[in-house]
Amino acid sequence: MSTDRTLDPAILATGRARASSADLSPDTVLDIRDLSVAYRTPGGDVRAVDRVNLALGAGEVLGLVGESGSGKSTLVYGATRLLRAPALITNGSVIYRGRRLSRPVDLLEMGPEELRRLRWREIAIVFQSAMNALNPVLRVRDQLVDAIHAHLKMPRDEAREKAASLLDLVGIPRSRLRSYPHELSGGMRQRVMIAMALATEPEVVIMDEPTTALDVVVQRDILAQIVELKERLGFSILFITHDLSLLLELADRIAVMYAGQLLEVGTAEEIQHETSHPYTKGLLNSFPSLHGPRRELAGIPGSPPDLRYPPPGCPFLPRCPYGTTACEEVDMQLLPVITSSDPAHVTACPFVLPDTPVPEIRTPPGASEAGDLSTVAELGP
Amino acid sequence: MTELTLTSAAAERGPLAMEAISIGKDFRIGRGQILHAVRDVSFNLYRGAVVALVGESGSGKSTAARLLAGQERLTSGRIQLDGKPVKVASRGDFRRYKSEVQLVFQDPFSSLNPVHTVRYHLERPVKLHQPDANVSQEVAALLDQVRLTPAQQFLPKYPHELSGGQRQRVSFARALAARPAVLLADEPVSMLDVSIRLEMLALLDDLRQRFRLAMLYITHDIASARYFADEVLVMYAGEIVERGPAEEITQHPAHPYTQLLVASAPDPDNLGSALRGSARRAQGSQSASARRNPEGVPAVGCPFSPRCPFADDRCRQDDPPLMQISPTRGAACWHLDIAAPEVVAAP
Repeated sequence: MSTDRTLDPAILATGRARASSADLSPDTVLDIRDLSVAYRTPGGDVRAVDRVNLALGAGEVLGLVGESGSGKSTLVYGATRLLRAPALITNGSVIYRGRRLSRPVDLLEMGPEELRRLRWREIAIVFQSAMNALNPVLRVRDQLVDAIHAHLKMPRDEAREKAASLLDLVGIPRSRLRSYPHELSGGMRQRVMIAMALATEPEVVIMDEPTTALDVVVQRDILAQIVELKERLGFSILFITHDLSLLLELADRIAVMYAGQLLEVGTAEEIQHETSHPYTKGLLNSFPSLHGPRRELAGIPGSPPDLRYPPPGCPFLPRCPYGTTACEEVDMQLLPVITSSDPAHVTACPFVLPDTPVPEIRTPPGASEAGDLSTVAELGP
Repeated sequence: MTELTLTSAAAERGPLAMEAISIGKDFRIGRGQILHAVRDVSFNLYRGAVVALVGESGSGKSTAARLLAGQERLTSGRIQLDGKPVKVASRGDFRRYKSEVQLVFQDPFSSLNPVHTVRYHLERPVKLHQPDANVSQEVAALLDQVRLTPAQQFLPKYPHELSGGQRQRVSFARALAARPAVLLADEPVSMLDVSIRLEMLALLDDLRQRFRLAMLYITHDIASARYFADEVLVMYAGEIVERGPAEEITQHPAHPYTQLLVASAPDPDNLGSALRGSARRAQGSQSASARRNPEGVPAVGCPFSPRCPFADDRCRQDDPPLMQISPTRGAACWHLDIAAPEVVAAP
């Protein structure tokens, strides 16, 4: 394991190679183990995240994909201790192994002061809505300087110079330092957010739907920039989105989340070409493709289960075209896909393999009331 | 205004419902500056057909929809509904117009009133636009049409009790309550999860067929336009820069801006081509030119010229009109022969 931060074009490649090997390799930067998060409500606990294991490798782009309400944000904010009551971490550990730290630390065991030092300096977050995350009455420069001063000891002049160089980094002209957020376009605001996250050279950058509000041209531009910065500076990225098509292009590995649990984890290639879990298959069949022949598209009919009353067995069963009664007793363990050569390609569905044909039209047990379409039968590659 | 005689690819679906004829809208933005949000835009909507208006934020596509909906005043041009000029001056006129032309908004979280139930949202337009109808029956039928069933279960709910997809269904039902001929859908699915977008588009498609709606589908996702629309209009800086049948436009874009849009769409069938690592796309110039010109749109010449890889002096001087490529297709570019030789050469 190298600890230098030079411009190494091989960083990405090695990151990918490491990632596909074992989960608990020493190159894991952030290791989420058995994490469970519940929301306490008068109507009972909502188990938003249920015993999730996820490891982020050094220099890796790990994509976390799921629908709204799947628990992907709760997982990440839980792991970084950003949740407040009624959210409650009920189980698990989050081990961070930074190059600047002498030994691994467990984020869930840390005191407030330790956490404060770790946040941003080691683990930074780019939030979804740049419009809300930036302070509307502060100039861009002052916000950058604030972020720098909160985490690094540095004279004011030096911090200002650093703020300017951060804007250079993300391709915004320095003249914008004196702008207020409302004077910037959506893409520029998102770039400022990225610049802020990188202000203290963190090792892990968490990106929560950083491009959702942007249109495709700007989105692509920003994603390309993120990849470029990652290669240059050598941080790791945990990228949260509901858009699987983005991750297929961007991520090294992809974790698919549904109803608080992981359903499938694999490399981007495996997720696309050896798709194992029926939910992942549904996601892949959900976005229109611009190139190639027009495919029959289906989406995923129905909606996610109410986590106050989780169904027995597999939570995807009510929407699954492959579902059988045996699915009500599945214990949702992530196990290697039998047909895959990579033991790190895991799925929670013990029945469906990449080449399993879609069964004849059936109404899955307890099919959802709203949103069943005549196109249900089209699901499948 | 332009000399060309294009036939809309949507025309074969049904009779003409609405015409936008050289419509334009200027906004004053202070210090005597004027923003031309929509410039000389013409298109037709036909019953039972979908026309997609595609462009990035700020291209004027939403303004165009608001003009058609009668919610903004035209600076120039005119709009005709069923061959007659549109009147929205008086309250009564506006209401009559609204019963023919309805708008669905992008954000189902803010377009429904949080303090009112689904029942209230639907009863009001039914009472307004169908005074003779049996209100509760009609409301139940509406919910059924957007597949919020059983209706009784959804009627007493408040917007916060519904998922994003269900909320957008309520928006659709509210628009349908007026029994419109024209439905203007402004990014109807872009706030929703990817997994339910298709379902919503399939629903819109079903409604289009069932009610023979003339639909304007506004989006920045050109891939969804390929699947959903008959004709695609690509808008940039307030102008239509390319138009034609959806499949042709997405498969063989002619205008450099359309080409950029198509190249920017996430492409799962071409994995690893673009973003990841060393396999960076050879067309780095495309990406670089995609960076938005900080000066904005030039006052003269082609609005896309600052970002265009093919731009020359002529482009910076004269704004090209829409030029005919085929009977159903046109593009506004001086250099189509360089930008899209295979499209222009085709018979």
